[in-house]
Amino acid sequence: MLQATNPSDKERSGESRTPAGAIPLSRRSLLKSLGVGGVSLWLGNLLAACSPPASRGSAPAAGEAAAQPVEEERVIEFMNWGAVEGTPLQAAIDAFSEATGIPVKVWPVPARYEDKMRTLLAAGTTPDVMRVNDDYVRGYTVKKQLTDLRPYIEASGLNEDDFFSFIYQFPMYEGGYWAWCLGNQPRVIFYNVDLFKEAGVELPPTEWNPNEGWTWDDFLETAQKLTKGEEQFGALVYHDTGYEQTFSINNGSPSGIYSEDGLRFTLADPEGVEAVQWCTDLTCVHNVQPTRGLLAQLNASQLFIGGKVAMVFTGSTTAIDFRNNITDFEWDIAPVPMRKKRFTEGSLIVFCIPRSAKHPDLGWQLLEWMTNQEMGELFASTRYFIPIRKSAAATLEPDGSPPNNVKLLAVANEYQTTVNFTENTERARQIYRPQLDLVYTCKESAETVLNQVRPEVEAALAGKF
Amino acid sequence: MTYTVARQILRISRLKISQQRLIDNIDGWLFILPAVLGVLAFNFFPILLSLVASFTRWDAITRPEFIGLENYVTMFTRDTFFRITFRNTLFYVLGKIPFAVVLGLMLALLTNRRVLGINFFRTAYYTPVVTSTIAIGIVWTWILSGQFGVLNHFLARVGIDGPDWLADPAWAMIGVIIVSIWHDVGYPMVIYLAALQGIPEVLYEAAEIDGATYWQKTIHLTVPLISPATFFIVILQFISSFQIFGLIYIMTNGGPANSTNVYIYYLYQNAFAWWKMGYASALAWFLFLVIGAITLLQWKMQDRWVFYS
Repeated sequence: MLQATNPSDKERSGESRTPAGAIPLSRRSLLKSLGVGGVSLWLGNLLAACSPPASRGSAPAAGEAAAQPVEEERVIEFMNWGAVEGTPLQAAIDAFSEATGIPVKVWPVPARYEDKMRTLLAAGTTPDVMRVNDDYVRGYTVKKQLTDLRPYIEASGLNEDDFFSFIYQFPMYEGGYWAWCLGNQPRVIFYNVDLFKEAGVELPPTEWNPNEGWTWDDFLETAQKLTKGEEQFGALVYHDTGYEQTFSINNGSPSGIYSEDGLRFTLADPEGVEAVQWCTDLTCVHNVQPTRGLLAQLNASQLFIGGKVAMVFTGSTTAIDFRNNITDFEWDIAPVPMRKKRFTEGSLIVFCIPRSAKHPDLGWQLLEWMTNQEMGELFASTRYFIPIRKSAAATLEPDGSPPNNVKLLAVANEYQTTVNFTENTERARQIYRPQLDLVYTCKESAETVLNQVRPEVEAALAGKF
Repeated sequence: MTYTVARQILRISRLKISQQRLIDNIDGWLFILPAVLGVLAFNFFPILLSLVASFTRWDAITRPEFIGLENYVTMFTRDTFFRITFRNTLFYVLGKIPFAVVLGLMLALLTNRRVLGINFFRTAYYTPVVTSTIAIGIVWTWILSGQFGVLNHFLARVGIDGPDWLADPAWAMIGVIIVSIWHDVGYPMVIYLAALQGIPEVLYEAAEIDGATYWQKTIHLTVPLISPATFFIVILQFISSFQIFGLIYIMTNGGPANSTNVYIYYLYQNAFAWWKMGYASALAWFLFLVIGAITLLQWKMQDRWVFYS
């Protein structure tokens, strides 16, 4: 602590030798003072910049007490990746603020969201509500970074039956409820209606029949009819990794990529191997799917929008892109093809309340608000995602612009599968996915590659490396 | 006794000189103090922290756990990706540096002429060095496309069926090396150009009087006289090539099938994809030692081939 220098100190230091105690001002002493002052200021600013914001509950200094409001400011801090302004999320936030009088401060993070999230969690300077990638919810839960929402859910009197149960149960772990899903973006088949009509091919089914019809064979046959050499491809399935879970499950795998306990690499089991091989053979054997080389240049959306691909397996969020960019042909959505059953994976819209949140109660109030019927209908009407509340999802209706079969998305929410993530699955997939390039480039079989990497993947799943 | 007293006097006088020098230079020290503090805070301290972190298991959220040398043991005994990425990096380094150096010298020889518009060519060859790696990576991804790429288009015109450069594990690293050479070759060119212009003209005149051909002058006169520049370029190329990251990040993401997964990219994945900060720090320190050892070796061996006139 700084203390005033008393005269005796000055005497000891010899500074009082000048008349009236004045210190002679030389160029050197002036420079010294400026230098020391400047450095102090710089360090002060540096430390201030590194410290948490003042609103984060730091105790005010004694002299500041009177200047601070007696009651702590009730502002919810909300962090999301990408822009929020202009999206239905912003509309929901605005409606919340208007209804409750509680302002919500949005922290948009345009890029490297995970880095930002980790840094904030490590520093304990998190906002009250944070978007969280559904892949990482389990990891953050195990590391005890999230608030258990079960007491809030119980106090709110929410009834699980009102929600899509698979999505509702996603954040549950060891008796707690660690995040909150607003909804889902299920993967379906998007298809170019004009190309079907042009080729005289029957359109895919509109209904989600979980047990029969629209099989892998049907899908392949349709794709073959829609393919025109390298000018036009009938199907696109393996352009991203989202097919692994869906197609292995639909081929009879009980758990998809990983076993339920997250310790076994079940994609390397026969059902998984067969699924990967079948999806790859669309390129390597049947030539109805673009090569990986082509996909390195043009992504799935570009190929579909450009009329180069007739059917693409992708998430419902792509519908927004298609609606904005497709003007010269008609398109719609269809169920995922099946072999033994018909399920699909989706991207869950998940938010959490970090353990270090300043206003967890208000954070929950906002999340609960975003799941109510009115907000659910808002999200459904904009196709932003399919709300977790069944009654809100049921309001999905065609609005004159594609997809006409939009109600299928609500049905798809009933047939969801998700990867059995653990804190080690991120490492595991970085081991096997690059090796799958050998399969995708038709150099090795799925069986060879997946069995080769299996020991290393399972060592990673066990946390051994 | 006299000796001891003399040493004592010398020590005190040195101390006084040293103190006096400090007082004399205080203004200068104060002027550079902000920069020094910046270096300490943002360079020295993080480097020190990474050394400490390399002995821990740390996920960047929870407290680091001290695990001694386990990260280093894992690196050498259990991590097959460590070996793959190190091997890929060596392939890149050895594939790139000889071409970058030789091409840089050739371009320097070409542009070391007094002809009209030579500055344009010098600028043109140097431009990729100051161009964004991101932009270069994106453009070259298109050029190297197997199906639509310009390179394969020209190869097809001379009857060569070009590979799918970046999608084929056998060709992807070669594709990256080609781009990297194109990106960097302007730098050795400029260094060589400066070195060539420092060679006294009189030496060439003397060689011509002795009947030396252009080739003989280049081999026996130019190359030895620019060897300090070569030494400088090789050292810098080794250091930067071991740290190749940008082009890989933009063009291949380490694929296909890990064929372009290089050491720094793997380090980055450990740190920022899998959040293994301790292990990533250990990888960083190992690379530092490797680069340090290679640089030291080059330094020690310079007496054998570097000619300082």
